[in-house]
Amino acid sequence: MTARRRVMPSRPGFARVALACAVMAAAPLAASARPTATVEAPSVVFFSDTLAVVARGGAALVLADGTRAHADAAYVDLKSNRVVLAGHARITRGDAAAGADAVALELEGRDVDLLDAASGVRRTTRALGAAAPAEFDAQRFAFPEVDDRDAFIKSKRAAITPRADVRFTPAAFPTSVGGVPVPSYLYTYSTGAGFASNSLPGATFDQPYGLWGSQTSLTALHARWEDGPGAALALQQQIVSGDEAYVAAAFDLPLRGTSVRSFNAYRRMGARYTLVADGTSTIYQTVTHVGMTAAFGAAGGRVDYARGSGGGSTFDASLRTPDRPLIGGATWRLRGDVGFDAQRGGLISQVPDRAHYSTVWRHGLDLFVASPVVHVPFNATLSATFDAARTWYAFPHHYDTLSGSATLSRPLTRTLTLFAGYQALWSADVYPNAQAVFYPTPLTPLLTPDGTPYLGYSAYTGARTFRTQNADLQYTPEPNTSLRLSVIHTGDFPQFNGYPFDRPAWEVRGEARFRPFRNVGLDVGRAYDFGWGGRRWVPRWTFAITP
Amino acid sequence: MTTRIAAALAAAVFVLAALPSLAQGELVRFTGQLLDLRNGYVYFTSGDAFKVSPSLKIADYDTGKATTLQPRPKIFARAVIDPATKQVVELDLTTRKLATDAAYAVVPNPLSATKPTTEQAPEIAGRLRTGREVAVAFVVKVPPTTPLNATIYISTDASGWNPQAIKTDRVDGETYRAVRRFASGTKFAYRVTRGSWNSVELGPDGLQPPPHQYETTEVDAQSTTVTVSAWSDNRGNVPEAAQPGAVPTPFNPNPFPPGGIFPRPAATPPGGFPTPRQTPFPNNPPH
Repeated sequence: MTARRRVMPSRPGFARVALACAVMAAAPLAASARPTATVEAPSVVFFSDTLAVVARGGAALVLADGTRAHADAAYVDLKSNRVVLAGHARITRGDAAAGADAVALELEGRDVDLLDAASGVRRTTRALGAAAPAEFDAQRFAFPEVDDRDAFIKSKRAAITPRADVRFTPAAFPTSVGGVPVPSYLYTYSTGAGFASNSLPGATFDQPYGLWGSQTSLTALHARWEDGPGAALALQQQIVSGDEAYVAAAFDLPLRGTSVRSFNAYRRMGARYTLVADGTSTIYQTVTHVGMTAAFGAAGGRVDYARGSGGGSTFDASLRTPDRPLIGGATWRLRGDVGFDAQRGGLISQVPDRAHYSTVWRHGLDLFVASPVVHVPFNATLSATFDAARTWYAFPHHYDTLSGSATLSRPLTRTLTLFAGYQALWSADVYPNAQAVFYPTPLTPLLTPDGTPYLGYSAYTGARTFRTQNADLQYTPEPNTSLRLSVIHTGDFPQFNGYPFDRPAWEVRGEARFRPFRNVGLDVGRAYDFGWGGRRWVPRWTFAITP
Repeated sequence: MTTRIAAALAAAVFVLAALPSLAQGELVRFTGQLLDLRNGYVYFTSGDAFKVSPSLKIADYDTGKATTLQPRPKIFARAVIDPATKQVVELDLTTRKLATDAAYAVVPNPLSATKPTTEQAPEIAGRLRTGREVAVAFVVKVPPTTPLNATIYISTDASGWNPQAIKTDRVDGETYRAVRRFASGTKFAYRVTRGSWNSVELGPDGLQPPPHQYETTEVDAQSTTVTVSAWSDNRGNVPEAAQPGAVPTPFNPNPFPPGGIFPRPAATPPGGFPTPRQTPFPNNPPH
């Protein structure tokens, strides 16, 4: 995680947030779509898993075309836009009216079915003209037996926009621990995959609150906790076109940090190509990136270009083969790329004539080999990977990496599983005949940002090693509960044993996942870093609420 | 006499129609886990058994060539059956897990009626949804490029596309699994992530596939398997080439690029992130 300085947002920062809110609210795309139906009752409950709205105690339904209906209870199936009014149902439109024991209709259809226990089913239209006898369809009148105590939301009024969202006024969350009642809550159930897009920076907690929405757009306020700055508020606008395209733009304002403005866009062009663009702007700099991915069967290619306001840019074009069989189920894949790195005023600060190196081209090859999961003695399974890559630069310089990993798993009992893993990465940054220029031996001990002398750096001349060994014991007595104990050891070179240069040499983690309530899961973790940052051990908690 | 001939013909037609082997073609392939090969029969754990030809050929499942594997319990096999003799003529062995499967020969019958005479049961056709609780297992097969300590999540539209909506447990090197209980009729779209939208699943062509669609049917238990071909943040399984600034040198005093250094620290350091000291070098970020 990047170190972020803690500065209070300036008054102009707040002004910009207010302005952004106003602009987003005024934009036509952000405007809320007009609801097609509203359901009011003393008790309106909503079940998010089946998208069912159930109103009891005297329900009133109002449709956008002026149709009004009331009954003892009402059920709206948001998946199929079907409405059932049950018990002393009466429907009116203008001067026309009809009554029945139950009424079934669609939010966007024209047929209205009237069910009388004595005379059977009659069918008419929204205009409520003469009704004709019709065949009884039990599914059309099906009213689910649900327990209101399991509802996700309890409310008194639901305004429904079909295939988009439903707004509850007010809204209480009886099965969500910590769910605070709010005067109004917008629940979006539009299935466009673009609603998964997010242009906000990473956060350990993010609770969106929908402000306005339609089938193709959503404006949401986010309450967040970010690693480093802490509490933050963000505003995000999403515009979605099915699964094919989306744009998300966001304004993130930590209460004790600097604001981040960002956008993220995606467009699928036919079966073979996708286009992406994204950008991030802070007070330090603005970085924008465009990229295109192409697929040719299982092979593919990619082109990326990124540019920063500081005068730096990178370009990369790569091609990869599909995964090809090797032996015994193992596969290999080769990737080649060519590109450049550029920096206004010179890229390589270590040489006197840096201005001549404002753009440095490079090309590289990467071979990746993966084994299948194989059965080994002691009822264990093993899988392994190997990767070798070299990047050549347009001046005497190349960069090599070799990495390998292996994962072993062994079920001890039906509920207890042991995992062991090993990963090693070796890299060498090579400048033929000029290594000492780029990696000189320091004359005085190097001081880290927090002032600690880093004596071990003197041995570092461009070659690095990262090694990780881990052993995990996982106990899963039942699907909603698991306990996991992990021991992780790292052996790196150079090793500083303190942020930001290295990882803890030893780490022990315990994690418990359980579901105390029907709709709420908890992840609680405790971890200890040993011998890191000059301390014997450093404990920390992790905590997460899952839906 | 005519009556007897007509009755015999009717009986023959009835028998032909009733025979399952004739109705769906001869069994030509059967795949499953071996239980035993004994006394001229091969037995599968599914309970199926087939007579073995005296000239049985044992081969490798993948290459079709000779193999050192022996037919024994826990080995997976594909039995190739000669429709004429109904005997197993070839047994292809592998240690890799194979799903139980059967293949039938095509029955050339152009004059048969094409309209099905049966109807799907209502619960299969999806018309009946009682809202009963169903245990649903999500099984995720991950690619070999998945990091060693990765946590795999399932993100659903019902959760507002929370990238950490359903956490899975690791089963082995390539399999993760989560079990949840849903009411029958529950329907949602989902994608597999590693905890954020920067690391989301990609399809075999390297492009982002459309979301998977899921619906809980009227059954006791349900399982759905997703295979992830690649992750969107994987660009070749190696870190970006470390520039000379990856570790600070006197020539490069600003080794803290906005994207961080490799590898990322495992956790927030004690006391929070350090505040970089102000130095006279020009490439320090402005205050």
